[in-house]
Amino acid sequence: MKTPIKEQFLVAPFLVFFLVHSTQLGVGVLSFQRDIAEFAGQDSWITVIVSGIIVHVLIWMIYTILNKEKSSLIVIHQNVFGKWLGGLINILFILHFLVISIVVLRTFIEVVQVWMFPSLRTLPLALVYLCSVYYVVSSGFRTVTGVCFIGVIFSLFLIVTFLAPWEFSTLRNLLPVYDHSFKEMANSIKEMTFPFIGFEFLLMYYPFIQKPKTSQKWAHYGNLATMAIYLILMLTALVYFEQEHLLRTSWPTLTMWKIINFSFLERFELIGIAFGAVVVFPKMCLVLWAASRATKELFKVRQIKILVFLLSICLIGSCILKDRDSIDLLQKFVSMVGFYLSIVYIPILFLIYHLRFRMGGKR
Amino acid sequence: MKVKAVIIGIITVAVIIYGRQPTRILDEISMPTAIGYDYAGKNKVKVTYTSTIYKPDKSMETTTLSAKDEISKETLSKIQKKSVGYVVTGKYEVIVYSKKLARHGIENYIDTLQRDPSISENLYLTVVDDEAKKILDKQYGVEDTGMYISKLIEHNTENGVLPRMNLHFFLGDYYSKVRDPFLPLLEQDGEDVNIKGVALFKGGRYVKTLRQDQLFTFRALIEKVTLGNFKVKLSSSEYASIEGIRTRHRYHVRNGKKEPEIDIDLYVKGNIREYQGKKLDERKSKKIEKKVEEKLEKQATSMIRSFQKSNIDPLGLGRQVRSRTRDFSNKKWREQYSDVKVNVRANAIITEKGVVDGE
Repeated sequence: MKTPIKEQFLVAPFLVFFLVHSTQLGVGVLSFQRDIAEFAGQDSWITVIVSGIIVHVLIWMIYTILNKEKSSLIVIHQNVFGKWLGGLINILFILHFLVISIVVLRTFIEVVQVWMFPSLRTLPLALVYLCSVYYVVSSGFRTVTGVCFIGVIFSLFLIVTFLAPWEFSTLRNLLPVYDHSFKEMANSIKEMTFPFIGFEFLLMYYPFIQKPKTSQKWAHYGNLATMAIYLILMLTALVYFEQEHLLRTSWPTLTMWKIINFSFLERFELIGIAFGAVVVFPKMCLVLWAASRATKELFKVRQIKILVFLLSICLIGSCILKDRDSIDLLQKFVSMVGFYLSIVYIPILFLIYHLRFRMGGKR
Repeated sequence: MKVKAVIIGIITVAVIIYGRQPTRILDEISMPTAIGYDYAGKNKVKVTYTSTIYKPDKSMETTTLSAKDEISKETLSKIQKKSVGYVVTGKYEVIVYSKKLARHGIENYIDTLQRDPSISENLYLTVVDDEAKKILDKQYGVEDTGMYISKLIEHNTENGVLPRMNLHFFLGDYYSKVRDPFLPLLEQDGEDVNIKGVALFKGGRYVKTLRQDQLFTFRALIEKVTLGNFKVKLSSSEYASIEGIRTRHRYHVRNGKKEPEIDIDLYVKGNIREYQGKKLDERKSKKIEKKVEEKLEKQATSMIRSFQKSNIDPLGLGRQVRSRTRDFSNKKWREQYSDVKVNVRANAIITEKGVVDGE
């Protein structure tokens, strides 16, 4: 029932690094510090490390399933749960992907509206953005991978800019270490899932990788890079802000840029946000590619047509979200769903899959 | 194919029509650099915007515009009606609060500085001993007023005894439960602006002043001082001036859980820059060291005592205790604060005596 992908559409294993890394880095990177610090305070950096390790384990689980099955999530679900239940879960995943794309797009536009152009309407920017996404996704998975690659390389230098806030920081804010209860830490780890969401797309693009088994280490490296970036940003925010101040800051990452100024450049965050467009774009492309690909495999329709449909929903969805509160609400919702679909559901799938595989042998 | 072309055309037109943003040409906007806040009755504030016009012949002229309102952003829109160019907030360098307003509390007027994304975190907030409008109305030297005051504070922070202060630190201290903010206190001294000392705040209210001569000790207790000056009196006619090459401090907290007790070790390494006595020998420099230690300890102790009396914590003793205590309780600390025992021990070393020796 599965159709092997032709050789010319495949990508090299090392590119999985960029795929994993750039899909994880999205809009969560702008504001995750506050959400985590709300629970874990000065110990938030521990949360980042623990969440990163959990995601490593999940990636390993995904690979054990995929290495046996050698197909995408859609087929796995249908094999494991049968046509109807599997189909239902598949639709759930497709909706999840779609909502992620809406949240990412709308949050990014919101940042542009708040920080750069207060009078900018949502529609034109969303339209331009989604047209570019259409252009990339319709050219196939290899182009999507290329965009991910460029997105990571282009925005690499931004990490250096976070050295600047250290000049104004107090290292003492990190002490005392581990002064929070287990429950608080668990809550903060749950919050930390949204920034890490993106690794589960491996389940979709695995068949597109050449010699897929060798790509596992690159997936782990990709996640490691994400974790490193989050760790740097978290530590910087913790030493730069007083805790109470951090909890009042909507986008700590952007506020940290406000301290940088050069004699020829008064506002650094404008450049940062412009590069944010490059950071967010690959994620949008990959998410919508995954959503359209999944729909194609599920309903056997042409991917281009379904892509246009999904893009229009994305456009309408992002225009409907008018204010901070509704965006925040949807982001919380996605974060919660993401937590259950990736952090909770993947281990369950892992167990069920291996149990069935062992008991019934390969059907 | 035709359909595609039409779609592309529609999208392009839609983006051009709906996506246009107002242009801001540098020569056509007005960029205030210094903003003054004056008290104008209960809950009312008079805001003065100082901006500089650069003329074609490279000379410049400072203009000030003022407006009164309850809410500070509203004064900006009143200013727009008086200003030739569109007034933008992106180039604020200094905010000057008048003493009277600071005494009444500036809580209501810092929100906008934080909320507006185009205002830098590296902005200097200051309190002036007089009316803010008065200090801003004047042009100082060949510099734009905002730049002048900002440079004044900057160089005194880098090479002097003024602790680091900007909007970011102020907001951090303001929201923090274990520290209280402070701002530089300026005064107009004839044709110049002078840093008179430091204004200490409780929340958003100015409650206490530190004089210029206390700043060295104050800064040494907060951060490392490089290149600060310190004067000691040896006898009625003998003075020596020490240039603090380097100071560092070490806080020790004992019994943080129940009744915290704080020991502060202060290390000062300095050069003698000026000496008014006869001969500066070994014995004398030992005596100077001793005097420096005594003076530092005395100043620091009485300073901390007075902070505790008015229940403010600009030194961040609470932060020192919090970072060394598990299950720290802000509330309990606040109750204990005024009775906490603080011991200061100073340790001074004279490293060099300059380029003269002997008589």
